[in-house]
Amino acid sequence: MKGPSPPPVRGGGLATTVLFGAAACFLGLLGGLPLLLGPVVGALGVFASTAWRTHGKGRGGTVALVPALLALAILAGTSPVAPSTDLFAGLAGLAFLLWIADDPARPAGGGRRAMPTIAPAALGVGLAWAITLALVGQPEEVGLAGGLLAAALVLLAFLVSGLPRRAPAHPRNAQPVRGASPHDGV
Amino acid sequence: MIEAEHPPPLPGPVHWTRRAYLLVAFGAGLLALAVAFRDAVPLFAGIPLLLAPFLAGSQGSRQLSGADLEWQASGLGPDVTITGALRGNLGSSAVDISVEVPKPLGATDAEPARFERDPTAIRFALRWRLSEPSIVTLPPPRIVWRDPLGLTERPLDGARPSLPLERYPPSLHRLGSIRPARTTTLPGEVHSRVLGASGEFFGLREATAGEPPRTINWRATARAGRLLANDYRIDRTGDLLIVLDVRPTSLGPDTDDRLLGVARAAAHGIAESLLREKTRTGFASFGEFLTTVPLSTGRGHRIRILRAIKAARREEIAGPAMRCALGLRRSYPRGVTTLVVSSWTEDPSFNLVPYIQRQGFPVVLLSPSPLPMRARTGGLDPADEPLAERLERLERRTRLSELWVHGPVVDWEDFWTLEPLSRIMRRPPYRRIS
Repeated sequence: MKGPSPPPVRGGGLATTVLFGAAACFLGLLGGLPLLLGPVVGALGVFASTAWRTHGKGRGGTVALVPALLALAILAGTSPVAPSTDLFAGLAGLAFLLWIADDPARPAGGGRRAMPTIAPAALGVGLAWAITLALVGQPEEVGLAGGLLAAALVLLAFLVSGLPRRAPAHPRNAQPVRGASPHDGV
Repeated sequence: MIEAEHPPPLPGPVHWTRRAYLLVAFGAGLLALAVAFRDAVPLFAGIPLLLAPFLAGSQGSRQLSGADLEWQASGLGPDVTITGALRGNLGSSAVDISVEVPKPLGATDAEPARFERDPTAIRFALRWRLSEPSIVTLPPPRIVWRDPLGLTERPLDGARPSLPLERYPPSLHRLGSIRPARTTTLPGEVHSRVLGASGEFFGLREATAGEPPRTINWRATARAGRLLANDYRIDRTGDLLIVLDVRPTSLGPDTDDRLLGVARAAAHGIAESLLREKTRTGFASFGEFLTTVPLSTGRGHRIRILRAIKAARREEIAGPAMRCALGLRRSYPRGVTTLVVSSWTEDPSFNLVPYIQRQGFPVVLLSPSPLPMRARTGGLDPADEPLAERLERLERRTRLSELWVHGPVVDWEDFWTLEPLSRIMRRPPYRRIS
């Protein structure tokens, strides 16, 4: 290799974190939690996950996503049914996907490269929101229609991408590999 | 002749990662919440989570087929540099391909790993520092494509060679220059009194500085116009038997394994250096029973003996030291210089040296010390650590000093040099006097 290569550019940009935080806070503001508890829950969830995946032990791992997902679930579960809350719940979910694509453990530009995955999901959210706006009926029926639509979208994606399989468990790169230890080698 | 083009290897299956299962679980929970409470908001939050794992696997990696790996190790002593390249039609997915190179036990990063990616290759360079000598074979790295969201992954096919990594003290390279004492006759060899001490004539060689005049072949020198000396068959080879102790000790399996790794690396380096100089070398490992490779030399024997050293593993049951000595007596002629590589921290009856010596083998003990591996693991105050280390060292030296009546002992603490052993092997009882 010729000369030292420049340090790798990592993801974990501020923009996606701010976007996700803003979407979660706004969903909390529209939601049913008293006073400013909604935005606080949203901000805390995003902050905890961001801090965990940037500085925590086993950063970049799956567990770091849990605080953000819990905050999203709490906010979505307590929000009243309205077109605006529907829209912001969907946007918060999409912002979450953008945020996980911008992982500091991966090369930069993850959000751009993940567009082929995020765009159909955004299309699904948009379609569902358009249907809820167009439907005339009780909120319960709107919810049911949305659920059916989501199920149909998932089924369609499932058929397109094929059957998923579970990934085999493997040690991460940073851990010593037992098979390569001085006493196990050769 | 036009060769038929091989079809590209089929891409491996796409797997879901734990992150994908987490997203689907949360998405399904939100969907259930929405249906149960007739509330559409959780459903909207859950749609992206439910869809993303299904969509992620179908994007981006369809054009990826296989990539071939070439890698090599370089460096000296504790420094290891691994360089390699993954070649194939990677395209724009190269940035999402991860090469996870397994790190040997006890290795630390000397520098951050460097990766250079382009559409046809991923080149990498890793620099490690080993804490102790070792001989290992690095398994092929795990090479997977992961989608940018980290939800799905696909292992890439292609050539994946293993990488042998052999690191032993650099001073062992000079050990080959020592001619060990000749203690046995070659098979079928009959000593002739007429031939004198040097034995059968073997060939001519360039005379070295300080060559005795009796070894100069004056007729050949006159013909060639330069000083040529006689080389005798008996000068060609000496004998050394390496005995590796693979019995378990009270230090525990982890320390035992690390010590055995160091001992194997030393045995490997010593055997390779001596066999390069055509010294007759034998190898035995003793756990519950004795496993032996007879004394011999040559290229085939070199492969056989190095393979036996690499295959030596710590055994679960310790055999009695007497069994080892009697086994050696049956397998090797008496008088062969024997290098016992053993950490020996047990009671005196556990020690191989007296038993082997009593069977007529001159013994040198090379004892890898467990102290560097146990340093700062006792949970003591930093102020008390030096005192504890000093006491342990004194106790070990006291125990080892009792063995000097049987033969020289090398207390091997600095694993990256074997100069004390070289000094002992240069002494007359072990080196042939010319």
